[in-house]
Amino acid sequence: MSKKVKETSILTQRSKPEKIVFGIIFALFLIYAVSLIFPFVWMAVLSLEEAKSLNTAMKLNGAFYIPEVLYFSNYIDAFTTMEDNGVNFIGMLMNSAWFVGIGLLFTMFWHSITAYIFAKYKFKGRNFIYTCAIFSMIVPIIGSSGAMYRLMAELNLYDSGPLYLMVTSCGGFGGTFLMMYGIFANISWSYAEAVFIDGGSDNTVFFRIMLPQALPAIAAMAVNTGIGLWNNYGTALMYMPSTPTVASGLYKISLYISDHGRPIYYAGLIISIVPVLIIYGFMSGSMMKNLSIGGLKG
Amino acid sequence: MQQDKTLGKTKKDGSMGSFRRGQLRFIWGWIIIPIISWLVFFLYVNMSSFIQAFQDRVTGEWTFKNFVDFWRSLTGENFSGGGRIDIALGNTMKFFFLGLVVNSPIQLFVAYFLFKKILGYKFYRFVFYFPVIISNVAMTGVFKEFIETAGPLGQICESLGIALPAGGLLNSSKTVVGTVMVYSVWDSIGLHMLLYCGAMARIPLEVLESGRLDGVGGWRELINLILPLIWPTMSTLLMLQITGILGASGQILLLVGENDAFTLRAQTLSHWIFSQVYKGGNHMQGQYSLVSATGLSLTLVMLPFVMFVRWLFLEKIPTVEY
Repeated sequence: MSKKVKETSILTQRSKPEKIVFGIIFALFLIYAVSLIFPFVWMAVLSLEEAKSLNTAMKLNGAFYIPEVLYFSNYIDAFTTMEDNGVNFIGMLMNSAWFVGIGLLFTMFWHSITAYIFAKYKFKGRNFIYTCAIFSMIVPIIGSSGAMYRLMAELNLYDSGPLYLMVTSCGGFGGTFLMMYGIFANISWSYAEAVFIDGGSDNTVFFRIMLPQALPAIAAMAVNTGIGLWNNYGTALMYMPSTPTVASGLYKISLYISDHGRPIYYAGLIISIVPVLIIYGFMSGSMMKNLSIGGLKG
Repeated sequence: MQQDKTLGKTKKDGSMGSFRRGQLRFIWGWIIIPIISWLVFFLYVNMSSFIQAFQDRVTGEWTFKNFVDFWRSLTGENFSGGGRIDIALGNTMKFFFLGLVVNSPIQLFVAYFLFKKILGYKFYRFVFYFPVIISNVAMTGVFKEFIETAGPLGQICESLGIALPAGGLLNSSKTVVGTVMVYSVWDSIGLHMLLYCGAMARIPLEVLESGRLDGVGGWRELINLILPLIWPTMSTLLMLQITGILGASGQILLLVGENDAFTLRAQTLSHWIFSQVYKGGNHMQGQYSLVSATGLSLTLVMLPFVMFVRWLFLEKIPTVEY
């Protein structure tokens, strides 16, 4: 009830100049929204075109034409004909699936346990480690990728697929750490004290009490991280060339796609964005409520 | 926010020692893996990169040659390493300031109007996040196709009597950088929108209501009330952005390519490093030592600036508690 009152409160009342500003901004937002949606609709339409020169077709019919015959078979051809490094599109989808699964599991787990411990416990060396971790986040370092590349080769992790991902996803510090830190810092410690009194351990507190309480926020972050992993083309391109993901594979295919092959390539691009749109559609509300960042101060 | 968990008060059986030992086992048992990961993949890698900067790429002998090559490229001389660091550094600064001066304020304003529940805000909030969730490969792919001379933009321009460069906007030395910058703005408007919206949503409405009752308008509400209240979020995001100053880049690789003739014109430091390390997929053929020397030199130059900004943000600008 009180919320309803607030929604119709003074905050929603706008003066005439404000109404004009909001009107202009609304128009600008609409233009921007159309600029985001329309190109994909246009691409989806052309993905149904016959495998022929799109440049010629667009010159003849105009860029906004709709093909007379719609070739939905392009979407099947995308799965069977597109390939990178001997891996077809189905293989790339499978690679993306484990890439996201392993990366997400390891990243979220290690970041959450690390952030929880730093947010809730005092221990010897805590401030030193925290300072080092934060320092490493704020030093503008570039140019170490050559050393990283060599290290991966020396550790036999280069092109090792899931093993590479498992080993490199065990870090607990980074942007996700800052977000998780804020979440755990805001959960009351009195729950933990009750568990300790009942004889529970620190593991019980974390896995049974703290993690479930932080779950909505962690789930929102997991969606963000998972989408990031799905779209990550650089890692697979540089460190896992034999197991191209959808993102890295489509990038490589884009380098040599012919004009005639563009409708099928477009179909591949459309397929690649469907999973993230569905997941985002379901989770956007939760992400909106639960995403926050802070904690550089420690 | 951190609480004292020495747990003297919460011990169960009076054996503070064993309880504390169990707690330390829990702490170190779990964080040892992330710490090792940090030691290997951050500390060792960066120390290794530091040493590599002083070594010959082929023989491994100690040398300052990499720094000489870096300087020659920075001052515009041609050298065997390929690419032009002076151009790459210039473009990197352009993209950094574009992000800081144009993109970040736009992101904040967008979040503000969504927070103020502008007509259709739920739809806009959903759509504006597309560039974040849709892969850069797809975003750049559709952008490139759309701005082709035979594509929609080309035909719209033609109907308006405006001639695009013959090979397209990305294939002209005059327009390639500007086009990548336009893409960067288009692509990043929703970038931190959810974080800003989330931070604004946590502001007590009573604060804003009393501001309104005191006659505070929209602009002052944003600058004098909302900004101080979301400063922890904003300062963290700005700090991370400033930390990434040397990595600032548009989607050069995806928009312009790896070895395209116009790549040089639009190249940024991160793209230059990528091309030097990756070398078109020729494993272990990269100019790692030159990359390390370049990275080390530029990091040392930028470090004082970043530390100053951090000090300014965290020590000099007060955080409002609520």
